[in-house]
Amino acid sequence: MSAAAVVSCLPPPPTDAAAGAWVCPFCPLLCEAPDRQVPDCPRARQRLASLAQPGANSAAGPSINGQPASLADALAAAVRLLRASRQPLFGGLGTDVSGARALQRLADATGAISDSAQGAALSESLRTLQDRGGYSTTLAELRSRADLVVCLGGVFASAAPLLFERHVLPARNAWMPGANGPRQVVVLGSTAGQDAPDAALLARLATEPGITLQTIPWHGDAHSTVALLCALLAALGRGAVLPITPSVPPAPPTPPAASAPPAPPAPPAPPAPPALLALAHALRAAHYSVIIGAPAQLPAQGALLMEAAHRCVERLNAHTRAAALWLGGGEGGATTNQVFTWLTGLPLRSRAGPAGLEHQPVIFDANRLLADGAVDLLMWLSCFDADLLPPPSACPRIVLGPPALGAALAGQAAAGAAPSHTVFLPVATPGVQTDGDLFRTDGTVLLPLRPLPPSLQAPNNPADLPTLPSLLAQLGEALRSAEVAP
Amino acid sequence: MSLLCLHGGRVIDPAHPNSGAQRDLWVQDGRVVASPTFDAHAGTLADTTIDTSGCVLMAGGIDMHTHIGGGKVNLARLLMVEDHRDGPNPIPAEAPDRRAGLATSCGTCTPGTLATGQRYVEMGYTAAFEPAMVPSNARHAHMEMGDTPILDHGAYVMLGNDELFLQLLAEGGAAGSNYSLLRDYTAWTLHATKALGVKIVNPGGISAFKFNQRSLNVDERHAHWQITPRQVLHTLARALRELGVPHPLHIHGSNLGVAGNIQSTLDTIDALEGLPAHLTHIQFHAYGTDGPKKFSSAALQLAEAVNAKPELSIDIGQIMFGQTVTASGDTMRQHANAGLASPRKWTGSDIEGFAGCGVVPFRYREQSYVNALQWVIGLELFLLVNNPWQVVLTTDHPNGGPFTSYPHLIRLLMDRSFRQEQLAKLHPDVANQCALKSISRELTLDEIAVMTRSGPARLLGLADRGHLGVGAAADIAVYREQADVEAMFKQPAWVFKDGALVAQAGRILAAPVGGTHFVAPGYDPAVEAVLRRRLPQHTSIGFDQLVIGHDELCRCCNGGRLLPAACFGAAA
Repeated sequence: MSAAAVVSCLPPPPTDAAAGAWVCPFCPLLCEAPDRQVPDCPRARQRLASLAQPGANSAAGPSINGQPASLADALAAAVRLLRASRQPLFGGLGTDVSGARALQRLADATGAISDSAQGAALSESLRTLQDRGGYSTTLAELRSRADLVVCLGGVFASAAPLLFERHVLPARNAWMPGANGPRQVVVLGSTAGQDAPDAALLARLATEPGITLQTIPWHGDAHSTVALLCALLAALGRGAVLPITPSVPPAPPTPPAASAPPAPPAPPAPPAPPALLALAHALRAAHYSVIIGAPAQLPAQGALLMEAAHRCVERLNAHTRAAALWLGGGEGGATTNQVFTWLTGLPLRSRAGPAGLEHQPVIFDANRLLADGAVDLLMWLSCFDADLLPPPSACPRIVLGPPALGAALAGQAAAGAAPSHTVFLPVATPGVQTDGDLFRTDGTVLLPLRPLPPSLQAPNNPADLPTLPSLLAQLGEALRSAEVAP
Repeated sequence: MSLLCLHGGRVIDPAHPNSGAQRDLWVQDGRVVASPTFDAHAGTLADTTIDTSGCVLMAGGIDMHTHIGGGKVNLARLLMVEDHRDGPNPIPAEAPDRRAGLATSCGTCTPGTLATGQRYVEMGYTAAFEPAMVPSNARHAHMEMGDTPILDHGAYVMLGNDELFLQLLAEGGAAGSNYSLLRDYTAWTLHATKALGVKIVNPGGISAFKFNQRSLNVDERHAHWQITPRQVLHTLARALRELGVPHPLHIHGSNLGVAGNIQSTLDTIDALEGLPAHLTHIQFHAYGTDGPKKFSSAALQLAEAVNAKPELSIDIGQIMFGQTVTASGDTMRQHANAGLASPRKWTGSDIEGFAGCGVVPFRYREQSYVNALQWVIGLELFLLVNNPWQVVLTTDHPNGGPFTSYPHLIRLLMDRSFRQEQLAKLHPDVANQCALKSISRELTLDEIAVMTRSGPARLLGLADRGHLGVGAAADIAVYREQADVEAMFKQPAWVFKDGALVAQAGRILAAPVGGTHFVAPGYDPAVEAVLRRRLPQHTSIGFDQLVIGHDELCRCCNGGRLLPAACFGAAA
């Protein structure tokens, strides 16, 4: 055996640049387009249109307080703001792995608190994990295996528009147990009444031949419904015989779990509406059921609801197979959380403070910090969503985003609605102008983003934009040299 | 071009003759070089001379089985907030030397990657290998390893629970007619995921659990595919042999943690039919059913099997008392053990038609009969296998305990009276009855060097690592000799990575980016057409997205060097 050769990373050989599908970065599903065409998805179309909206090109440059500025001047102004800040806040965090890596370095150097625009939903998920854990699954297991899919509170038409088309409607693999029948889809507590896209999708799903669709209203509210389902599954697990008869009177809403009395050794199964009882039986009979929810759409105390869903899964897994799938964390939310976690050991809503790494999942909520005046600078990052403006506050702001976001900020400044100091730095969008990497909703798949093929770029899509990591590295470098300067 | 001389220490280099002799070690351009001609004036020839008298010099440590990067490790970090905070307060930490490229990072069982690199280097380790990379999570695993500073790294990709592998195996029937396709699929997976080896976890069992099967013995049939773990093991071991992959099949066997699992471990060895293999965290697979609690040590049986088969190697997966978290691909066993979680929470996942993962916190207690016996079994295995080149020192970090406990473990192995003291603290039934009590062997420095550097380098095919011969990479740890070997191995006086001084007296001085070790075995490209057609039935990730290209790997590993390990020539 010869001594191992060493291959240098620079320059990269032109082997894989052209290969591969386009991966859509605009929702947590990260749909792949092998034909390199933008999928027929309302959300992707809307995001791309926003990025390329009229005026984006004219506002493509950096600006200070709404006035065009050179990149060097804008960077210098940003450095001054960072140096003057005693407690910066990094918010939005719409970026990919390389952006998050660079951001963590800057957060470490400045002692900034970092929180995502999706911080509320992320911290509900985190709380669920840290209190009880759970059992989850991925999109391929859902598509190829699940014979029963339970959707909590809707069909996610806005959050993940192509979920059903890509991962539920396709036929299961023919050899999977139970694959000869249609896939059962149960929507628990539909929000179709309030949500037009959901209503349209539900109407479409009702006509799909490969699935059976059933909608069961909340029994009381979401919490009490899932708690009741869990109790029914527990009773079935103990061997209780629970016939499904329409004569069972509907039960009053169950009180919240926290104030419930301790369970006696073998409680009788709670009274339940037939539809919910039938669902419990169906879950027990299914080979592989998946409970799907979107943490950002859950009612208050969503962590408790997620925990209850995981408890259902746990009860089921004692006998058959089940798992949960949570939709969210797209456009950088989950990605920055993962990157910060692996680098520092702690997730977002943390900072490198004087005493060490502080993690405060409640206190370090960006909106709360801004409302309390607990921070004196907001650095806002949104590479994917040109409409995601920083939350209103009197703090000076450094905003890094697509040029269209700069145009919106300039509009704010012109209307006198912006704080006194706002530095805007335009950045490229991974998956549109540059490469990148994002985590998919199931948390275990990190997909590579590639620039949108030129033929699909909108004519007024800005080009030659700096990348977020390069700008953050320049900011970090300038801060370091400012430290050593007399 | 500058010439460095480490002068006056004892060089422990069991890969070469005269290990332990006092001699100067010369380093130039990141490599160990021959002594300059005018040896008499050596002191004046060197640009830098470091007086290492009173010290031993070893190659940098190599941890060949440590869960340092990827989905389940990050899940463990998120799950174990207790490990990253002191109650509601931060874990006190000194401000890192940011000029050295360091940043704040914390944790013990599952530290952040930045802390992982630093803690390893502070002990004189310079390379670490993630043993359980799921193909669908490979990009993520490489990202985390790329963010682990200083250490060189690599990973073993998990195969043999992916539905396509099992389906192809089933379609090939008893005659194994799909063998060459499976071999090429194995090679393609190594290529696609930029792995250094292949790991099999509970052969077929992770998939079987998705089909609601709760246990799977070596000769039991998978509920759906009707193949047996024996077939999976033999196919993969043979494929790697024929592909010339230096590291043989890395096996996490069936029935992990089950009393009486020595039988399935011996069946696993039998299934290999003489093919080389590495049995990992073997302590968890060496349990008998003797005694009043129907749980006993089968270390002697296992050691005899390993002593009789030089083609086998093992790492131990020693447990260490205290809090840790177990992170494993073995969903079937982790689900079964979840009731023992401490604190009482756990998380698991079925993954993408490829594999699964389960993360279960554990607190190993000295007064627990089972935990005490696990501790004893691990040490017995270390001491009963004759040839140290067949044994690698691991705790299966973090599953048996965090890697930071290695100096303590080394002392247990080198110092019998210390071992007896610790043994006396255990559950009395274990302390009084175990065979360990009467084992007098104390490992030597040479044997420790084999188990922590030279052996793993050889098992992984890293020709220029794990030794200090001329031409070797100058990954060097300089330990000050002292009676307390725990203190000695805890904090080397100097650590060099590729010739650069990276740590001194427990303080990190520089944090260069580590390199990525991987293999690139050849395969018949026709397999790609088959995979392009058939993989989409099982996974939702497109074929092209499963392949990590060269420039992508550079992006993952932060521009670190790519270190392809040479494959053996086609096996005869």
